[in-house]
Amino acid sequence: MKALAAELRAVLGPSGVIDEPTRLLPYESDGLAMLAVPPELVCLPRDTRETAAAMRILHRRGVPVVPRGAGTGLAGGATPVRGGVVLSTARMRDVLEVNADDRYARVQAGVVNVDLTSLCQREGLLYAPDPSSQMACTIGGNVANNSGGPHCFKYGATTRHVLGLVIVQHDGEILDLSEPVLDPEDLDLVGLFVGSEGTFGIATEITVRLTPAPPVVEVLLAVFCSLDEACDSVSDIIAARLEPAALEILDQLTIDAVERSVFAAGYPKEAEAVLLVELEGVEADVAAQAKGVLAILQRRSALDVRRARDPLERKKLWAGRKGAFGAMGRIAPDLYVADAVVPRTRLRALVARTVAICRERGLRLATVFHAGDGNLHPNICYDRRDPDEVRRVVEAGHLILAECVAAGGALTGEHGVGLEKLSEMELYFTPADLAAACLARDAWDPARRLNPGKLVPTHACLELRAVPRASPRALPPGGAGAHP
Amino acid sequence: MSPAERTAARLAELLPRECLGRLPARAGWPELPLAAPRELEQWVEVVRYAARERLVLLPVGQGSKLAWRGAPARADLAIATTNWSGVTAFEPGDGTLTARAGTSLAELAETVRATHHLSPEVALPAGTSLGGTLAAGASGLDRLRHGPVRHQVLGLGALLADGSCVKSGGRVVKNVTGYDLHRLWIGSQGTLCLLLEATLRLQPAPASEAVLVVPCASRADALERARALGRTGAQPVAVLAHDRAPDRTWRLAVVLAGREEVVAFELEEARRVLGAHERHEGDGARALRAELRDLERAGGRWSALFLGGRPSGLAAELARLDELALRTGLAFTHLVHPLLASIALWIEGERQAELDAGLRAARFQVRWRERPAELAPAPPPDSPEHALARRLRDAFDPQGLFAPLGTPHVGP
Repeated sequence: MKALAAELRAVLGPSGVIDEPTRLLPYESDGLAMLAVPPELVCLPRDTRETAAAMRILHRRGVPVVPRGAGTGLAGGATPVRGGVVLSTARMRDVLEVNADDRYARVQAGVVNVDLTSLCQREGLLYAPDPSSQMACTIGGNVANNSGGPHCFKYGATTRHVLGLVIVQHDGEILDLSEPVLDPEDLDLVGLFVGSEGTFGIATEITVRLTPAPPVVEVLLAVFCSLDEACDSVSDIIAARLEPAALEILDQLTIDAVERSVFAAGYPKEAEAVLLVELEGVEADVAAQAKGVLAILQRRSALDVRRARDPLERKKLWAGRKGAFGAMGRIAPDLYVADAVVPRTRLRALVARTVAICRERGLRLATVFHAGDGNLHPNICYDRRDPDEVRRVVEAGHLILAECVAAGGALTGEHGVGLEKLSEMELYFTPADLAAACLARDAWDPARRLNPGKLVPTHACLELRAVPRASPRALPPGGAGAHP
Repeated sequence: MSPAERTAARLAELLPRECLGRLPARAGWPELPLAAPRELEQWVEVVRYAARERLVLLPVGQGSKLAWRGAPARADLAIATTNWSGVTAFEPGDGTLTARAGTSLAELAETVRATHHLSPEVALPAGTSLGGTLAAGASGLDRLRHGPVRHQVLGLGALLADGSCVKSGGRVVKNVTGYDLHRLWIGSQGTLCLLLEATLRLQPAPASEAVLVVPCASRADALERARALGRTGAQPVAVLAHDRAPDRTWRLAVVLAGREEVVAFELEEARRVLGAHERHEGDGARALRAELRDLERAGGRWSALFLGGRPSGLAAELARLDELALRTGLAFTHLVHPLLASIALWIEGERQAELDAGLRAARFQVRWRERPAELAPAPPPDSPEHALARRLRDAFDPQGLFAPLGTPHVGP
């Protein structure tokens, strides 16, 4: 490794390589802290050219590479592999171009999501995908995971907003697909790459679509005495073909955690659930939609509906929602953050099932989710020092995913598969489906050196070669590692 | 017995008579035996038979966009979706629909109309299948509002060259489970797999719609008015500039649709920036919208080719085409999406060879829609992008079961 570090330093400079054990510690896991693996080395290239140079060296030496954005992922997608190198985009933070005329921006992969949005605001534009971690997560990480966020209900996930990419391939060759193209005429390589979780290549530059900012935004907070009624309200709003920008539900335990934290938003503590509804557009339409939504909320026995009076109050209501995961550090030493999707007509039944599954196992569940997309985030509280509780959490997590898949849903709506859901991939896909995935993977990276052991179960590829992978999962299949 | 006769005879053993046919010969294409399976097992049987016999299989869907992929160097057997149609799942409450590949776009539209939803709005929906639309990546009139057709697909079922049935994506509106292979398969023109089934995300039907037609003094005038509309808060379904009417004058057509309050706002913005225009509402708007939708195949011909670029560079691209026309004496008509910067081009007369040469010389990146068979396709450029595309095609079809494209990109 010393020789490798020296060779990499020659192309990345002295600050471009980390190999001191204490400085490697922050890189030993992503948000899935349970699966910590110390990396041998971290590379920090500054641009495409340096990334390509580093990748050529790593290719020649046959070293596995784990790409990493800000490390905010929750599925272990950036967990290092033994004998491998972490390639971080932390020093690729330049916004290369904002083209307001053609409504796109070109950024380096390490640009933080919220920074791009802030930069576009002065042009009356926004970058729509807004994961809850947007204060820290990077556009490159969003591309790797096809990230979502509350406003993906209206605008769609990251893949709908990526117009072009510059990708450094496994052998260091640069694939320049940066020209903004909405509708490619040949194979959609960009569309295939988004969501590939670092197994196809390293995206170093990203061209994203910018969206006009809405002239009027209104946020409603509906208060319910039952989680069921909150879920049914969402199903009714969707069935009525109303078009809010976001629909988010928080349950009682989450409300309590938020209100006791720095993210306190003024949610009523006595409520069993609150529903946040954001409406946006032209003034008359927002008013008309609000009327339609209010009628549904009333019919569904909302105890109270509050309208944010000004941008400050609106921001506060959203801060509570976006800070919910962080706030939960107050109610348990550890948190398993699940991520599954269900048909929106089945919200009430599936949310009730997650509650029952946890109750049957004596586990505390805090639920906060993107209700408009049917994207559930059951958050199970536990203490990793209690092996029996850990066992029950693992069991509950698996059962919740199995129920969602059986109901016609999906394993993950926005966190990705990573290491966390490898074993559940066979609940959702057949061996033939997984073998097809391996065809694509091998076309991009024949030696499977890029993020090995992630996303596709290795044995599904009928693979005889030994592929280095992270230590087997012994602890929960999730967990923000939210130690307060 | 000729090879084609042998293939037809063997097919007759595999499939019932109603699943057999012939793909008629046309320019550059020989007559081919045709299989139109009606059961999944039959699809698998035909693919395995073709693979075993090392035949080259030409997926034809229902034939509406065959010209787009061009005549391949070799094809032994055509396979069609004419017996493979129908909606298999419709969840209006969830806004999703799953249908077999041979289902026509008109049938989809009719199915979802009852629940006030919209399916993708592509040209000539009655003769166009879902599978063919997706295989060709053929986005329609609504792509300014809803994005390209690939954005409306939640998941696909496909049959691979080895006879395995696989899926990508799913039936829910948000899903990042596994690779988005469906993004790869859409637009691959049947060179990677056969598309069997697709799940779509439906859009809400508009409560109100209007079509505005603006007579323009010139092309530049049409483009400027379109850009002015783009700078307002209006979000039209479509904005088209064209000179396809019999008098060849330039017109700008704007399709507005949505919630009543939104359309009212957009009409006001349009009135402010577009100047004098005709306004059509109700049945008149719907009829005109259908005409605009089908403009891509006006007169029974797809545009000869299709160019894309950036909105800010559109005027310059069109000017370069003018220079080419002046130099060669070629006459074009155009259908331009100014806010998407795409140009569909028709050529008068049979001078495609001259156009092809002119475009190559002027280094245009274009794709032929209806390329004459006698024009030799250009070899794909040697680039990392094309090398990767080749690796993907080799991975999904190592034996070369699916007929290759006959019309790769023209360009530098």
